[in-house]
Amino acid sequence: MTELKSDTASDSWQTCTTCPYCGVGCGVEVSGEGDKVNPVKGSISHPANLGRLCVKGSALHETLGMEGRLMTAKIDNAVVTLDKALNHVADGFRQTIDQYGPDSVAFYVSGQLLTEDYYVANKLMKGFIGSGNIDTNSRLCMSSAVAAYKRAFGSDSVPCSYEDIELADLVVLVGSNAAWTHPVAYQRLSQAKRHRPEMLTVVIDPRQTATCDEADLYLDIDPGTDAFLFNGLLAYLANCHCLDHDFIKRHTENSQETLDRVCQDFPNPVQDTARWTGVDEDKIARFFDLFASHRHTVTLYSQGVNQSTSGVDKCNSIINCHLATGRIGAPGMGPFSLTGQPNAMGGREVGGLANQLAAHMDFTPEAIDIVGRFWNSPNMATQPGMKAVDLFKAVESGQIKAIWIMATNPAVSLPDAEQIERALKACPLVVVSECFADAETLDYANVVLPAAGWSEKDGTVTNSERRISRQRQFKPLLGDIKPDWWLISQVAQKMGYTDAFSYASPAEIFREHATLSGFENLTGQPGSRDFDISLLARLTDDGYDALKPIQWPVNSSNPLGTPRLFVDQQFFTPSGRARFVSITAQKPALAPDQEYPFILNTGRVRDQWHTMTRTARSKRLMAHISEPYVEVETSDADRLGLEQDQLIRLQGRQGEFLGRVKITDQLKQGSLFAPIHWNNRYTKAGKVDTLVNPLTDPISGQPESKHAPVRVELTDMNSFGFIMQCGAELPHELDYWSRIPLENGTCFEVAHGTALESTQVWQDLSKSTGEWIRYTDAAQGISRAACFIGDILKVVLISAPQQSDLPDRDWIGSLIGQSVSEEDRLALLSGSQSQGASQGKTVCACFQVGENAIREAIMGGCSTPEALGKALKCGTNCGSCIPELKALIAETPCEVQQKDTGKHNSSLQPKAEMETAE
Amino acid sequence: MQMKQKLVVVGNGMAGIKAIEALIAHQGDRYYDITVIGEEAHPNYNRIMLSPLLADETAFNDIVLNPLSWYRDQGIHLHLSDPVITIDRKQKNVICFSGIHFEYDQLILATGSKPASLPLQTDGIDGVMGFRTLDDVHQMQHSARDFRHAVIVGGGLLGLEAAAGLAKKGMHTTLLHRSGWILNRQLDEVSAGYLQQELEGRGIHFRLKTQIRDVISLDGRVHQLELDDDSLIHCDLLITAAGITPEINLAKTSGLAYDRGILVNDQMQTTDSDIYALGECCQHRGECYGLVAPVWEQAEILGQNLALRFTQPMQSLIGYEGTRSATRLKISGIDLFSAGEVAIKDENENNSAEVLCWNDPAKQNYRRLIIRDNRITGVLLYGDIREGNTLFELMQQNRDISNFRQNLLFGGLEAALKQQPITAESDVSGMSGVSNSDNAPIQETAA
Repeated sequence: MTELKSDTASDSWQTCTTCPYCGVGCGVEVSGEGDKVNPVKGSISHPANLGRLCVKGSALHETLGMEGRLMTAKIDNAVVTLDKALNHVADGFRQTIDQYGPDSVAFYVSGQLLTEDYYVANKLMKGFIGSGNIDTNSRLCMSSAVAAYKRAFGSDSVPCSYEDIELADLVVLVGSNAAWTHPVAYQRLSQAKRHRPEMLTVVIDPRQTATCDEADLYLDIDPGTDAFLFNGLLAYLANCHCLDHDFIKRHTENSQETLDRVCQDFPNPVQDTARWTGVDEDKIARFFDLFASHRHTVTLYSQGVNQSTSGVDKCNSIINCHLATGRIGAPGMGPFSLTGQPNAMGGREVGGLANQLAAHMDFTPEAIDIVGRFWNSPNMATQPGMKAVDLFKAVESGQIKAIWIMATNPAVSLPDAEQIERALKACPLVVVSECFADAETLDYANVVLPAAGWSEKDGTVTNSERRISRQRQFKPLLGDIKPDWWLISQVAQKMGYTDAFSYASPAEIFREHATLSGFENLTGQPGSRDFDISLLARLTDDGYDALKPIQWPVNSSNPLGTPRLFVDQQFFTPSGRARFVSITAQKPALAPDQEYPFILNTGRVRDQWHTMTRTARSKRLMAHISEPYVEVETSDADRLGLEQDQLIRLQGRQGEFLGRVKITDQLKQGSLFAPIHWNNRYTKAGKVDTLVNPLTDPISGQPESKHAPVRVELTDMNSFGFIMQCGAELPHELDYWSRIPLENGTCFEVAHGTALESTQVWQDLSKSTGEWIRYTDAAQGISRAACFIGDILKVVLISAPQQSDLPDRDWIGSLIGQSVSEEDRLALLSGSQSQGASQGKTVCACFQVGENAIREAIMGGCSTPEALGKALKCGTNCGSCIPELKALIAETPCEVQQKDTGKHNSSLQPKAEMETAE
Repeated sequence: MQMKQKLVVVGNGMAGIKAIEALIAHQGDRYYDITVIGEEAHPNYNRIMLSPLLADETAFNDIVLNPLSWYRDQGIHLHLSDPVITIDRKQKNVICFSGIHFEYDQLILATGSKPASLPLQTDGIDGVMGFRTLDDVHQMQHSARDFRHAVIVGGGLLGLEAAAGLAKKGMHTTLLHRSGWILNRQLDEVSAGYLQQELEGRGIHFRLKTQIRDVISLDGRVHQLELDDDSLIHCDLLITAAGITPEINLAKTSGLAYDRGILVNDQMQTTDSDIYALGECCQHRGECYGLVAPVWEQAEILGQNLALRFTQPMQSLIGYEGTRSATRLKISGIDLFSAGEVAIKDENENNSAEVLCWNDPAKQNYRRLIIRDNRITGVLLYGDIREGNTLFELMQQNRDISNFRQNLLFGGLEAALKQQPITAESDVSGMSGVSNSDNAPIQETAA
């Protein structure tokens, strides 16, 4: 007994980890028994979320199945031993470097990597291969914010904590649909507002998003005009004598030039701003007034600001307003960039962007010297490498001949997706480390390495408020799956860098990373570096394992971490002063024209993450929005004659996109919106990045993903339907398809120019082995069929000439791969479960009267077959069930029958009928 | 009170007695002295149940509808085992085979039908019979004990039921049918295929598109059949079930108008206003019925009118307008339901037939509707027939089904209909039954 108990006890486990989705970086409590993982919970003790989780985070346990996981290495699509693959990578990189030099190779990494993975990758490229060519998908996300912070503060320093959102009196959200993209941060704001109704929020966005729901003021600015707004605000603040002259004078530089410039550009700030941004004057006036009158102001900004050809300037235009009012370095204030990814910040810390060196150091001679000595590097990179968009251009042109892509899906996520395809096809060596076997980028890989994912890897991430949290492993590494740091270290060793990459654990890497952050860093003195976690360099393995979430810097001056930077108003510029940056506000690079009259905005939906490789595994998450779509403003839709859910094509300069129309009043006329998530694995042509132009900010290299001129084209679809099956073979042949996961299979929403039934896909599926049931309404062109093996539903094929003629999917979808009852088998192809209660055994065949109804009538007082016949018609036609009716009456207790006998007898009509048969 | 009239019923079967029951229900018995004359020796029994009786699934006592005591209690004079051979309309007399006469003031002919005879010489050959009466059942049961090979001619409801019963009793049973599939007036080829497969599983052999060319006897009993495909098959018992013929001999000999059946008007009156006819022997508006539901309606109307004719003017009496009915098969464990149009014949381009079909071959479950101008005109269910009546009612009501067209064949129809606004639509078909009366889907009568 005792033994059994202890077995049971050891079988259950629990741990704390960090969510792998957005930059909020919520703590997640995971528990389970053996292999089984229980539904996850928000960690109450984690300062980022204090117990909350959003819908994506709450569904994490639903995404952990091993189905579709990549578990072995491959070379040219053939499974090989991991060692062979690693040798192939090391040899390939070595030979390429030997022949063409270090800049002929590149790494393209990701904000999904853990800091330890990131550190090792950066060290290998910049310290040992000797090139700056490591860039990251964070380039697409917040590189503009990074560049702006550096211009203003001399360092990539996010000044605030989430707590400041709650402490502010005014929160301004710019280009951020935080309600969907940073749900837990938004919930904190929302709750604080309920708590303190005097707290105000302003949302600035060309789209009226879910974030606007609780806003006190919404500014529907024209796309891309954010810098006009904040320059105008700065001019207003100057005009209205709302500047903090003392702060400006003592702690900033370049203020006069900046202020003069905006006052010149905006002589009548309110009117001029209204004109530039397309917002009503009174709204502008109200916003300016609110900003001027609330010292405790936090400005939250995100991709709507960053993803622009002038993203850095936009960020600085925001920071300028905070500097001008001295609103930084104290509780409840500051310019606060929300990062998109779970570890974009960690990547910035290790220097994982091409224009950074390491540990918040740039490519200065001093920094190259410091890092080179620290790493004992034979071959330091001496200049920045290529940024994402340029990097893939160099891959296409042949300048880069070997690329290693880690934990990201650039075939989907980079602008001009077709160019990325060309580049990857042309590249002689493409290595991809990936978790999921169906990531689209794998199509172009020469070498595939099976990487560990969330739940399997161990390390740290840093969230938007500089908080370092542990991601902890709670599932074993199956097959040949390895963590990224291990894969990189192995390749480095095989390339000859044995000593520098002999890491045994992530803890060891973290200590080195922490040591570097403090290496020759003169804390508190001019020239010191903001990123300093030197105190953590002394963590033991156990200490690392138990590390509680902590905000950097963590050094001898701030042993408990640092909730807020610049409290002392000391900045990391050479002068120690923050810099105003004089901005000339600019409109987006491409304006709409006759050929491409609409402006496409792109973004996330609530329940999906990036390219869906993880989130699409959860049926629940796919239920929110299950197909790619295009939001169209009502009057535009009317003008174009579009109907809800109609399939349309967006044609851009680079490519096309197929999605369903969603008519909305929440867009400006002439604007469209489409989600970023869908790709060739999930739909026919839903990769919105094929429409995004490869135009980037000249400083940050961040592409203008929020502003692509496109035109709307109608599609000629004449046959609509859906396919459900246990597998997930993509119906490429069809003109439109979109994949939706089911509990035990896949649903494809489909449409085609000609009859679906005549397509090869349809005909092949129609030949699936099994028992088929079919429904046809030939006159209306409707055909529905389902295939069973035994009682297990295997395939469903539904088609109709109109979308509206298709039955509901939910119930049918839930039955795929399941045993189906006789009743449900009959109802199946209607799409809804039969509502009729079971009637029991049929007693009267002529009128189909069931035993249950008869018993009920007898209980209600029908004591003769005639009474039953009167009530239910049973026995009144052929009469053959009368003996059975009598038997049922006899079975029922007498008291019940007699209760009402008189009444029923008196109402008998053919009084003589049948009675004599007794 | 005036003298009671003499009401004589020729035929002690379901139709005649049902009419009397209706008369009594409307208190009409006070106007009449009632005499019922029967050819068979038994009180009124449920002829539909002869198939289950043959298959030993029920007992005679359970299928008796009116025991002798009922006739006694109602004061009805019952005269059995003595067929009427003549009607003397001048004297208002009926004369039985025994010579006994009965006078009448009002006469009801409820003589039913007989099996259609084969175009073959079978007179004097033993083992050739129809399947209509209790005596037929007894004879078949004896044959099953003493002989091996049964052949049934006719793949209609009655033939199939007889075949199923005989096969169940252990006979080697072959069913001959002229058409390409069985029950061709009720089923399409697909559903008939399922039914055939099911019945083959019960030991019935089918020869379709086949007729008998000659009956070969041995020692006075049927022995072999020569078929029109030149084959010879064994046969010790030949059941003719290729349709029924209305029994109209009395009408012929007494000068009443007849066609296939005895002609009646909507009050069920023959060309002699004191003589009525109902059931399988009559022909109303060109139709001869072989199903029970129309007979029930006719009996109700006749009984009611005979009861009310003394107190209400003739024109206020209700009339019979014909019945559209559905078919079921009385073979245990087999469910099929068929009503309305079966074979699609498109005559009018503007109103062409549209077919809704649901088919589950593995479970032999099949549903087919014929729709014209958004109205159901044909219902065919095989396997799960629970919704047959609901569909039948929609057909009877001539209801526009366009709003729930795609929900008709998947079960749960009644629940779906509850969500539909009911718009009263008049019955424009002119086919359905008596107003205010429930139109019942119908079971095939056993003869």
